[in-house]
Amino acid sequence: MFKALFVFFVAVVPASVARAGNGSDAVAPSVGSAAVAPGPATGSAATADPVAQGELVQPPQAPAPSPAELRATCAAALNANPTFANDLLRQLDEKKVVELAKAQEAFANVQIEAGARVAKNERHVIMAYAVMWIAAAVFLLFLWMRQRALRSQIDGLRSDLAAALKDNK
Amino acid sequence: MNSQNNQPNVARGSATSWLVPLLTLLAAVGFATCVWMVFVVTPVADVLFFNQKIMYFHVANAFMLFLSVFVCGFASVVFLKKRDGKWDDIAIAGAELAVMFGIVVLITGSIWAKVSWDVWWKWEKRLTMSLLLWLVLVAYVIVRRFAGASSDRLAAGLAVFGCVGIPFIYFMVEKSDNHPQAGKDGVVATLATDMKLAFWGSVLTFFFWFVAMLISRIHSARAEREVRELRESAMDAGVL
Repeated sequence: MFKALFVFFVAVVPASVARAGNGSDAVAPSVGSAAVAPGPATGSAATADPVAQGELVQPPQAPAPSPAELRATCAAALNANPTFANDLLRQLDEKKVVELAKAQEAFANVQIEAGARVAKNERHVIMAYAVMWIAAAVFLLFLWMRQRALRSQIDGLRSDLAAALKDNK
Repeated sequence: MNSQNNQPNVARGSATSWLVPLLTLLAAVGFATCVWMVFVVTPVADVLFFNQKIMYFHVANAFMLFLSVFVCGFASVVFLKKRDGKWDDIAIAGAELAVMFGIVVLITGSIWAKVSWDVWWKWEKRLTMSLLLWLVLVAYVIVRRFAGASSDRLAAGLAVFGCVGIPFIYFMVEKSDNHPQAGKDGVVATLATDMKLAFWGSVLTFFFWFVAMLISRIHSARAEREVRELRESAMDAGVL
C-alpha cells in the first residue's frame, strides 16, 4: 500500500503538475531517463527522434512538491476514499493484535518456564532430603553393625579369658 | 589390664543408654515437625523459589559439621595434654560424625548450587574451604584406621588443624563470591518469622540427633578399646 502511495507521489503527481504548468501534452519520464517529449510511450523504442524532427524539447522543470503539499495531497486522497483509510486503520489494528498475541505468548512462556523451574526445584529438594536421610540411615546401620560385632567379640574374649583363668586355678 | 577393669566401661555405657533413645525420639519428633513446618507452614521464597527449602536442613547440617569438628578438635587437644583414652574416644566419635555431616553438607550444597547457579560445584572460597575441612577429617579417620598404634597423637594433630579452619570458613562467607551471606544482614537473620522458627527448630532437631549419635559412637569407641584391652589380657593369659 505504501509502495503504491510512493509511486503515486513520485511519478504521477509531478507529471500532473508538470502537465498543468506547461500546458502541453508532455509526459513525465521515468525516473533516471532522458526527458523527451512528446512521445507515445516513455522509454519506447518507437519514439520518434526529436532532433530529426527538428524540435528539441527541454525537459520540464517540475517544481518538487513540498512535504506540506504532499501531506495535503495524501490527506485529500485518504478523505476521498474512506475504504482506503479504513483499510489502513484495519491493518494497524491487525498489527496491534499480532503484537498483543506475541506478548501474551511470551508471558505464557515465562509462566511455563517458572512452573518448570519450580517443578525442577521440587525434584532437587527431594534429592537433597533423600541424601540426608540416606546418610543418617547408613551411619546408624554402620554404628549398629559395629556395635553388634564388638559385643560378640567382647563376649567371646571374656568367656575365653574366664575359661583360661578357671583352667589355671 | 584385665577384664575386671573393663567391666565398668560397659556399665558406664549402659548408665547413659537411656539418653540415646530419648534424644533419638526427640530428634524423630523434631524431624517430623520440621518437615511439616518447612513444606506446609513456611512460604515459598521469592527469589530462590522452592529450592530455598534445602536451606533449612543444609545450614543445620553445616552447623553440626562445625560442632563435630570443634568437639573433635577440643577432645584432641585435651587428649594430647592428658593422654587419657576417653578423650580420644570423644575425638574419634566427633571426627566420624564430622565426616557424615560433611558428606550431607557438600552434597546438599551441590544440589542447591545446581538449581541456583546451574553448576554442581564452584571453586568458590567458602565451598573450597569446606571441602578442605572435610578432607582433613577424612584424613583423621583414615589415619586412625590404618596408621597403627601411635596414630592417635598424629590424628589429634590433624583434628586441631581442622578445628582451626572453622572460623575461616564461617567468616569466609563475608568475602564469598556467590554463597549466601551470614551475619546480621545474612540469610538467616533476614528470614520471615515462620521461616526462622522452622530453621531454628531444624537446628535443634539436628543437635539432638548429633548428641545421640555422638554418645552412641563414644560407646562404640569404648567397646573397641575394650576389645583391644581384652585381647592384650588374653595374650598375656596365653589364650590367644
